[in-house]
Amino acid sequence: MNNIIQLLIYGLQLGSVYALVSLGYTMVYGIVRLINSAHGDYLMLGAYTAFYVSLLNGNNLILCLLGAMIASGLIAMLSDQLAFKPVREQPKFSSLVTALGVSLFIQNLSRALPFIGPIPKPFPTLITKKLYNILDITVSSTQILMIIIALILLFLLTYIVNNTKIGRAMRAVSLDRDASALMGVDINKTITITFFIGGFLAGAGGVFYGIMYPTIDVSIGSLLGNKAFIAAVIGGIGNLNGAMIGGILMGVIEIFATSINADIGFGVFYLILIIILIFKPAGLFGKLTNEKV
Amino acid sequence: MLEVNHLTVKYGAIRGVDDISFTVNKGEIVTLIGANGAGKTSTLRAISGLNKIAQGSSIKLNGEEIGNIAPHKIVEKGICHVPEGRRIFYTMSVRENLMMGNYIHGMSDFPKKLERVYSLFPRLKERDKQLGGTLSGGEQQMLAIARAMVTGGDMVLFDEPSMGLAPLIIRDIFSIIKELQCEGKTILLIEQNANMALSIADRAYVLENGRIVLSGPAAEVKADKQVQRSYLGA
Repeated sequence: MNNIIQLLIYGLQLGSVYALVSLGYTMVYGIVRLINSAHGDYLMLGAYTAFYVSLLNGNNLILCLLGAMIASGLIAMLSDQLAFKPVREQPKFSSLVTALGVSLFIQNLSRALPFIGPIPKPFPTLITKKLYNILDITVSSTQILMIIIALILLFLLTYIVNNTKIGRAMRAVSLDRDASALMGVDINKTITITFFIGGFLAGAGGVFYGIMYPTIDVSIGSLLGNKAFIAAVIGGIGNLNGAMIGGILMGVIEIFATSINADIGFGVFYLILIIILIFKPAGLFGKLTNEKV
Repeated sequence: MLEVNHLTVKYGAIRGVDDISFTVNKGEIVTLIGANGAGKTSTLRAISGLNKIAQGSSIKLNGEEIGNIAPHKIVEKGICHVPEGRRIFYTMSVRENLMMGNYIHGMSDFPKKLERVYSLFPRLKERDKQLGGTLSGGEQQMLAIARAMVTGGDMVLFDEPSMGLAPLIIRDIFSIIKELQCEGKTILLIEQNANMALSIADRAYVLENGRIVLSGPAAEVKADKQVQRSYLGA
């Protein structure tokens, strides 16, 4: 029993990382109907930013997090402006291919840049690990802090989307772009902000990933991004709650699966994806919409 | 107030709107009537900036050229557009829809505006927290009009407000349009229900295949033999 709770906490820790990353996928998909395969690469650059912030300022979790989040957010925004905006009025296929291109570009450019390079770097220890024993369950300070920060970010995002002007504009644009423009919403600005927020959360995901698996290289983005994308699809792409719950669920499932056999962890991801797509093609929380005319 | 000159809207090689010119004076209700595909909606979408206009076209609002600026800027200049098919935000509540209408304004005046549209549409007040998609067609049209009223431009464009609605509700909607005129708004109305549109309009233009084929005071257009045969079922 204790073992199960222990795994559950570990799963929540991993799941909160997935949730942070899958939110970006789902938000961008919701607003521009684009599966942004470059999303994972934003978090990779965020993780490297955290690496250099800690090199300059010491192992300060908050500073590293902020640095990574802002860097990822800005890169997401920049990629929208430079790559996605010019093809926005083109058929969807153009932006899909553009996203693949942006992803390859970021990864290979990073590999060539001297301060990132092809050799993996050790991620700094940002949280001093203390172990607490509560009722025979061992919890680490890393786990507690990560889960709390992730929850705060998720709560903040939900609040922004549901209760603020920019959040309403984001929802409106994802529902009906023309009608939003007629309300005076600046569509391009709203899309850019959505990219920023998605990248911002991914940056936190990147730092958390580095804390959990303390070696970073240029490909961590595609690995984590892949899993987070599947989590977003399982939750129902375009649906914020779906992405959060899908992310956490997949984290927990992965940990349990790995505890049974270390090799099947990622395989389980795809298995669940296939099962969900067969029985609930729109994901757990998504709705198949019929256009009402 | 609104001056459209040589407006052309192209869809690839096809000219959806072909070199039309018309004006709407302050305080008037002007209607554009015509069959499906005549170019009515394209004209309206061009005015509010949703459709790109071809070279040589000019759209002036109070003397200022607005032909090539973004839709959200045109809203700020005082044109609001009640689009075809209502286009309310289905998964937002009635109140949130109205808050979207208020997007370009501060929230300080919003309660007053809300009170005003709710007194005009008591049905919407009852459904304040209900999602837009759960409203009936007539209620959705009311919400679309209320939303545009909250946006609050001096010029209101209506695109087929009667579409898919029962005759009684159509009458309500048209009396509200008339009321907006009495409040000093200028209205450009597009309708397939030519009879209703001509009965409240001051002037009318008849569109056919992207061209204006007839124009004049609404009563004259209504009396025209050709119009009666084509649009009024006489």
